[in-house]
Amino acid sequence: MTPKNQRNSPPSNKTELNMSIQLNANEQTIRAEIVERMNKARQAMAESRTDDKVREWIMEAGERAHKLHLLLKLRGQEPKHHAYMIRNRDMAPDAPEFYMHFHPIEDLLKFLDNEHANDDPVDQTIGAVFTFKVFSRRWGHDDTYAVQRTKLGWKISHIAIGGPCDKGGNPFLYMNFRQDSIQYPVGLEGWMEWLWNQASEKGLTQPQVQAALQELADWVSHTEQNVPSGGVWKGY
Amino acid sequence: MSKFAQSGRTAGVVTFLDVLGWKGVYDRKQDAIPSLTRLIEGVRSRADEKRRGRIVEPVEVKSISDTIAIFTFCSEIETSAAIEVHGELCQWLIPESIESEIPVRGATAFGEFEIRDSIFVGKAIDEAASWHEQSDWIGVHLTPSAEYVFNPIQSKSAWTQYSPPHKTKLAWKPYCVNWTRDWTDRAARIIDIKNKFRRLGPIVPEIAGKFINTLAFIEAVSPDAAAGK
Repeated sequence: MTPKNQRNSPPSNKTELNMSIQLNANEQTIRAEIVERMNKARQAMAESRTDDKVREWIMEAGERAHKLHLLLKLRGQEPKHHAYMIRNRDMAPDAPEFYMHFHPIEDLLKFLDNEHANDDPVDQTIGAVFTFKVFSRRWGHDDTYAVQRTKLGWKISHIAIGGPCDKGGNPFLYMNFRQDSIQYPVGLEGWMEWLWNQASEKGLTQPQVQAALQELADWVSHTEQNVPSGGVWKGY
Repeated sequence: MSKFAQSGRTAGVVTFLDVLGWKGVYDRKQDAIPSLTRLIEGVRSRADEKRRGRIVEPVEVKSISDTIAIFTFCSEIETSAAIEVHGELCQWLIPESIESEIPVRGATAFGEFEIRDSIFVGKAIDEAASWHEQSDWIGVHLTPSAEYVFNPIQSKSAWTQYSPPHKTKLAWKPYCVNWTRDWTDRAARIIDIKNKFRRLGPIVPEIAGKFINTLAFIEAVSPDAAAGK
């Protein structure tokens, strides 16, 4: 139980736990009660136990999580949850039933440790322009394509050939390769599409997308630089 | 050993899917393995977001050759939620498999099973395995064991009742994954799918049946058909 003299005390600047969200004494007590029950439930589930006692611990932790949520909301620090969690629970996070499950309680504790723990990834590279530097045997040097990430895929620009492409880089990335007889890996289209989707779903940063695109470009260059040559291939 | 593998014998939901026309894919499609790998990884990456807050146990995705197996242990009160999660994963997987030119069909069962690494045994495994290759379409349906325990929230469910075309002639209407539920421009999506089917050609009679049955399903579950227009 929470001591009466700790109720509604102001948030302490010196918390015992190094939490991103500063909790007052009452809130810290509730948090400790949640943690205690969650640890018991976690331990039991690790032992493949899902009996009534485990459900009871989760329900008790959930009641306290709801209470803590409302206290934090009252002082303008309402815990954030992933959009998918709100969708899966099918109710608002301040509804009493929201925390009657292991995972939202787990996420509440993560939020208390780091207020950005439940932030959803944001697609941050739509419209960004990247480079795609590939080696061309025909010209004996690297060519640099401009690759813009668009809502529907990519926009490829290089000298005379370019335009909007799908997520796999069709058609202009490959039209450029064909124009300069650049040999490229068969699965490249799939990797381009995967990268586009990862950038969207994981909210990859501009440097992350740039690095990944250049990895693909290096793969193309490696293929191009290692085509058979000389001997029977001379003149091909 | 993962927590999942340590769970021991208990009940849960099992979905088995296989790729239509995998035999001969080596000649037809040069990037078949990366394409299938992308599908498997796509299901894995979506599984946690689908199940957290609904089912405590993780969703496990395994594959052997062209068979994708999805497993979720669940308590009795989580059963319908677990079936929903499998349905939602298949809602993503089925159109993606068509897009990748390796279309899948499958079945979802419920019951006891046990997993150790890549060995699976149990009633749910036997049931999913025996049903998943029986249907003559691109799609996924529930087997009887799952059908008997499933209690969907109709307005939100990934599943809809339909008679799947089957090698065994059965007069039943199990729940099937409605992978077209979120389509807006249905006419354009159907054109896209027909174009994909064309690329899977030659469309010999045994293949044509599967395509026709799939298109018939798309037509039957359209909002217009449901409204009797």
